[in-house]
Amino acid sequence: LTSSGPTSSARSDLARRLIVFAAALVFLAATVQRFRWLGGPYFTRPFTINDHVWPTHFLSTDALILSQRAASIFAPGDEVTVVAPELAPKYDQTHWLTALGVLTEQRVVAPKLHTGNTEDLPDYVIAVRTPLDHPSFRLLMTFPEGYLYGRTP
Amino acid sequence: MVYALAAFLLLPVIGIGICAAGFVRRMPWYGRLAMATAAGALIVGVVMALMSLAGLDWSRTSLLPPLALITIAGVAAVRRFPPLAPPPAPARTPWEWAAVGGSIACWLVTLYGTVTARETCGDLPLTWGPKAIKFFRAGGIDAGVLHAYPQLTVDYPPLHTLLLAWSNALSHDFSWWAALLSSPLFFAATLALIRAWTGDDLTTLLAAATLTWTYTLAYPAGCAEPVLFLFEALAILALTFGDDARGQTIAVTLGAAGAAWTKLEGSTFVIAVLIVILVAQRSLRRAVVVAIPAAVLMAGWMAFVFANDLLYMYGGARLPIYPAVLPVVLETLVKVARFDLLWLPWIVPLALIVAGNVRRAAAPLLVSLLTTAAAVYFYLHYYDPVWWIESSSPRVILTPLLALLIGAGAAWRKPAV
Repeated sequence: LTSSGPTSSARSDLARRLIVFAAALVFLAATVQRFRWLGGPYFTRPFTINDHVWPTHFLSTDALILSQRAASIFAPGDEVTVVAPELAPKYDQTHWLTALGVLTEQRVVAPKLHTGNTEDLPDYVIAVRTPLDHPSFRLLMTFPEGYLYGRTP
Repeated sequence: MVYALAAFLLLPVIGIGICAAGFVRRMPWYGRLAMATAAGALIVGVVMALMSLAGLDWSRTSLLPPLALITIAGVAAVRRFPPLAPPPAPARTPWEWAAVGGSIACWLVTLYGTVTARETCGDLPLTWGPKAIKFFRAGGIDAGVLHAYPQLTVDYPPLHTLLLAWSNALSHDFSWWAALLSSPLFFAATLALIRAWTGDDLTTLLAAATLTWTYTLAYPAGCAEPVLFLFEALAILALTFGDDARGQTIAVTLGAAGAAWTKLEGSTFVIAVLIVILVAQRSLRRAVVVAIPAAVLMAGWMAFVFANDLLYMYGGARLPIYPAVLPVVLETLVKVARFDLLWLPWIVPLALIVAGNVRRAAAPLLVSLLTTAAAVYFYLHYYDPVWWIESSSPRVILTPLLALLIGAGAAWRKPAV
């Protein structure tokens, strides 16, 4: 599709080649170093799609795992939310939004746990890492990454 | 996951009809495959949107017949207009073989980063994935879903969501890993286009290595950018290297339509392309032809947005502009553009352009400048834009970077424009 070949001199062509190969080596080396910095394991299948995006662990990764673990407990149409209790009352919306793509049969809702209105409360709360202290919810299950709470009758 | 991934691998089959176009017939096989991938992606998106418009629910059973008909028509067209032998090229030098090997190595490293969850886009589990799943379960583009979950960037152009929903339709269970793996597939198609249009292994290597590195910082896997870059690369390459007026128009039109329908930034990219056509090519007719499909697709989407009161991101245009934050915007953008390597991803293509023929790189240079200006303009709409720039611009500025990389190839080759 190109109309003609290179038009520059052989010497500048060589310089161009050297620049491109040197840059490519630097970019590749930087990429490998970055992957190493992100941490291992390097040759095992990750458990979630977020496993190695940062060297430190994200709570949203736990939210993803917890949502998968708890999915079989819920009935279709149940209202569920996901929170990291340590952030109360300013919960991070990435936690409950993460569940949206996992709990596809349920109604995943934004956490409204402190409005004082019981109608705002969901059927279940998945608590990431730390226990939830809320009078309207009782502990149902414990997981390595957190807890599942059900609404008290 | 196999079926979900197959949905993406089927795109070049569905888009095979474009291979009957004269300019594509002369391309090497990988160029034809990439062109068909771009065409297939847009066809799938348009068919799904039209089905929603017609009130037909998406399912494997309902989606496959129209797409099969399009594929059969495409195969018939290709049988009638089969590929032509590409023009004879001199045998590759050892340098060029090394560049081919290097490009493949870069792609494999990107593939590794993707499958080991090192490049996952944060927005995939938060917005793109859930929106696609909800659409699939609703049987189509559903305003009710978007009203129920306003966090799902509700007025964003639909193509990437539709492609994810397409993979969901084919597999029934949404596969997050297939969504991730679509990223290296679109990356491979982008590199194939660059090689096919430039005919240059070094340009391909530079693009492969630069994007491999910047992808690790931009986290595009599973988001819309890999799709966007495929369409943008197609439009820029055709503008820069197309030597067949009709073919150039078709390719730029496809690229512009796909880009506009993939991301909000795609619309400003199309405006940049139209300005380049008007300024550098002085062709009002071509600008109009290129603009029509993109405008029709966007008008259709925006009609849906307005009819259902879903204006969100596009509503940003009504926000006030804060000229006073310009220094902050520029400073933060320059900081992000370092890409942790002292701006090397920019310096190398710029140096090659300066050392080559700047005039030949005029079109991609202009696209790069205009899309950078558009990014600055967007960010001026926020009184405190730092967080917004730091979180979104690593991906946004890949468009001007992509244009520069193509410009670096153009400066050392003779383009048609």
